[in-house]
Amino acid sequence: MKPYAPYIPLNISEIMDLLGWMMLNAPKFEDDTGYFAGQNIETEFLALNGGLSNIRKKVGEEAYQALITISDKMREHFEADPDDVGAGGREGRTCIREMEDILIASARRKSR
Amino acid sequence: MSDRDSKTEYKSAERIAFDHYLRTGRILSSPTPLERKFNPYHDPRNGQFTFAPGGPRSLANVAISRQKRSLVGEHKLSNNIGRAAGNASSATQSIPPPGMPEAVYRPDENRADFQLTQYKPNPRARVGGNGGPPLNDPMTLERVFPGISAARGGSMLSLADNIFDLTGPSNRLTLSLMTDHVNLIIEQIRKIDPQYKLNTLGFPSTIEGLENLTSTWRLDRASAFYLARNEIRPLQVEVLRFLQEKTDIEYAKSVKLFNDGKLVPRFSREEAIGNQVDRAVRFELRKLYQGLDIATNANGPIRIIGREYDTSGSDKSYRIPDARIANIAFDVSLTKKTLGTAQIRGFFNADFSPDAVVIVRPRQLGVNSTYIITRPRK
Repeated sequence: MKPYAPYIPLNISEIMDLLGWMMLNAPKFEDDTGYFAGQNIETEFLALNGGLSNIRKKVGEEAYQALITISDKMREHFEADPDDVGAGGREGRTCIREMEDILIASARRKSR
Repeated sequence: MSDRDSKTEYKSAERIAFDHYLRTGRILSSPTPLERKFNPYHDPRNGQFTFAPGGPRSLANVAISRQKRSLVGEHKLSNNIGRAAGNASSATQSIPPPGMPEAVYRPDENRADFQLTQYKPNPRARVGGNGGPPLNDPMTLERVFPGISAARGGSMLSLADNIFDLTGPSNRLTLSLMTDHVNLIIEQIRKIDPQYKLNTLGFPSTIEGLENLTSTWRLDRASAFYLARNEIRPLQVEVLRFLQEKTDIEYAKSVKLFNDGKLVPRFSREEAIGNQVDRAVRFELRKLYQGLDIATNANGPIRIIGREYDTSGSDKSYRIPDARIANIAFDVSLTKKTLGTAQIRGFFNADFSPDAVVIVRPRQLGVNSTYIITRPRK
């Protein structure tokens, strides 16, 4: 396998999958199976923000800006609570839920 | 011999020194290697009683086991017998059995020619100089789900026992077996792709490290088979392994989060956990394919969560399996699904016409959690 490079989601569905994965693997986002050595909070937020940039046109500028703001806030929470014992982990996961709600709403608007 | 005696027999000199230290608090300066007299009246290879070499009866009626004959060879044996005959006049002199030159057994020595008396070779071991008994390394789904080729249409077959367990043999042997196995995998990859480069800084010394590395190289092998030879079956097996491993891990994390109150359900516990596991495993699969340079799209044989249309009826409908590799659909699920499930029937009716659907469920849910459903015959 190639040295690890973050997978940048291409559409809303893939970002939803990434957020689902982030929910379970926060706050460090490290790989413990050996398949993706080098994976960490830096690489995964790079993937998330890259994915958001890919759907910028689809979701609209307002939603995009809201998503980026929440993403930054989420990272701060997770970095403040790397052992997932304090409020940081909980707050970070709340941010994930907020992002999911925005994405679901955007996908519904688009399908109408 | 009592149980206690049999246990002490296997203590190494270091172990005895450590026991001494625990009892007395004193460290033995240089633990003398333990020596035990070996009973030369037993065949060292199988532990069976035999006649003393050099004794008159040994020449009168030579009994040599078939195993020993094949191991040592007829010629060597006859030489030994000849030598023994020459020494028969001196009754005190005896020829030590092969591999036991001093008739002394030192428990701290790990000699390859010592075998436990109860040792029996594995009759199912592969014959040939390929590095010992086989590890579980199937390369087709027919070997992962035994009996699939002869199964009736619509059958449900579970995984073979310990198909994902590489630590079947004893721990003492596992590391060396795995090392041999890894070398075999690398050799296989290089036969397909001579330019293949190992992306590793060194060889791990622990079993866990080696297991992780073995998984990665098996994936590389499957990828090489697919990309260079268009042989997709090894990839089906390795992706199944990967999905199972990730499903187990993400399920455990999901349950823990839920129990800690960190996973807020929208509808129910099962929905919350199942949804998180599905999404996390799909994302892991995307990362895997990217790492292997394997393209996933609607036109190719490999897809992740793509719409699989059924255009046979008047209404165009579709189903979305979690993953698809050629003629096999994969679905990660917490619930047990059968041919009676509309979703599974929908997979079989789709235009890509899968030969089978693999239902991957967390192994924490019990035995036979993961299984394959073969295509129903009309």
